[in-house]
Amino acid sequence: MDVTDVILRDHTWFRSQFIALFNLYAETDPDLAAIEAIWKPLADRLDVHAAAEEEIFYPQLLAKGEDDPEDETLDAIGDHNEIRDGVRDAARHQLASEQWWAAVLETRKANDEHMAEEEREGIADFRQHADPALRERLGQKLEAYLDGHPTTEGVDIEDKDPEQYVDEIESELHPNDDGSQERRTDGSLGIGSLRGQRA
Amino acid sequence: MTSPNHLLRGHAPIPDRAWKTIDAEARERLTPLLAARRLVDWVGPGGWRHDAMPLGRTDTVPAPPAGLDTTGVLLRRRRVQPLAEYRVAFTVSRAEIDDIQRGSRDPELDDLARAAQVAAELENRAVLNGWAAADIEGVGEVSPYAATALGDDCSAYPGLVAVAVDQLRQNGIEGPYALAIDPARYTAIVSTTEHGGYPLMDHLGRVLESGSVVRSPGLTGALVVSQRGGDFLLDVGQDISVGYHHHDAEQVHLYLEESFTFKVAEPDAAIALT
Repeated sequence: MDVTDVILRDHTWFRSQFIALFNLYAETDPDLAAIEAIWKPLADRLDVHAAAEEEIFYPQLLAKGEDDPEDETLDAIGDHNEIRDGVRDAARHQLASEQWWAAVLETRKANDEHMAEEEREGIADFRQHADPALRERLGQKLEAYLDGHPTTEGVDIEDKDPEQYVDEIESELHPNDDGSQERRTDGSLGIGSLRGQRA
Repeated sequence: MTSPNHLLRGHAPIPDRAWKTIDAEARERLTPLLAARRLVDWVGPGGWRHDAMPLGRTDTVPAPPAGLDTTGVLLRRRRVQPLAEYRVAFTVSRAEIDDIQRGSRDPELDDLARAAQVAAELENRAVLNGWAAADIEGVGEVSPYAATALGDDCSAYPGLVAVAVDQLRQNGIEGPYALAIDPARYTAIVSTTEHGGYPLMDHLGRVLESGSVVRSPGLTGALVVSQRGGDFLLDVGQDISVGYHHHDAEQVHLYLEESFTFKVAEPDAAIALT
């Protein structure tokens, strides 16, 4: 499956789960077990989804995107941090308390904004400019990552500095002209030694 | 390695696609012009914060800190060769950047081409001819051999180069060897065939023991240089980079930047031809 379809499949699921959750909020005597049954896997998946995108999708968007992928990625990592912060904030409050619902609502707003922006920008850019075979391969990797992490165990759920993330990924993705994979982190053109090369 | 933030590229009104185009064009323009890098050993890049080349030598410090009796104490100070920096300014029109974003595949980056020529000639000249103001002694400057007149008759070059190669070999300097030569004479060599139609370039290649003739913009005259390695060290801090200075409504003002120094370890390994 195309990596962008894998991402969109998760987006659809996120939207449906938040709707189901806030349907319970509207009830006069909400079922706590039902709330937890929706929120726990949703919270875990939000974290795992963000980590999976950062591991698999955004590095390739930086490499193949042409509609300012750096800006798209900076926005996305910032959004992921807000979503992670929302999940962490909810975990600090009693389930279904007003503070808990407020934290979950903030998480939902951050996620809604992120998904809309990602669908409009990063995903559209990648669909337009990345090779279909690459998108398919990445889709397989993303599905394997998501299937392999049903919870956040073993997943990096820490906030990331967006600029540092982009700098590090760009350094890794832009090999030198001689094809070597030596990291170039100095912002140079990477011309280096031409010893023995003929003009 | 240091952060590239000092280049301020993130502050330029240049989208990612246009940055890639500008970088690719700079690389494409510079690479064929950077002759010195084809001839000398490379050290680095050490990054923007790399200040100096260690020389492994010391000077005597004439006096201790005031008030101390240091009888019998040896006082020395390490010698280093500081890196020089250059920035060559150029501009890219914002209209051109817009066209690159639209998908233009024939960007007009003429001022970048001019800057690349200046940057490459500066590096070539510093390494091959020397740059006294930056404490760089060039390959030709420190050669102990009497310079030979090369002249403009390129049919005589194989004989002159053969004599130079023989002189190096007699001094224990092994090959292969390379001939660095200014662009005008290089063009003459490329376009010349000897009696029987044998290309002059091929003849020179055999004289140089399979070494190459290197077109060297910025070089005055020519040099026969050993390519055995270890004789010439180009120490680069920040390798050539494109940075951002400022912009206005019409133009984005950028620059090419590099920090480097150069040291000849074995002066006997090259002969200048004037």
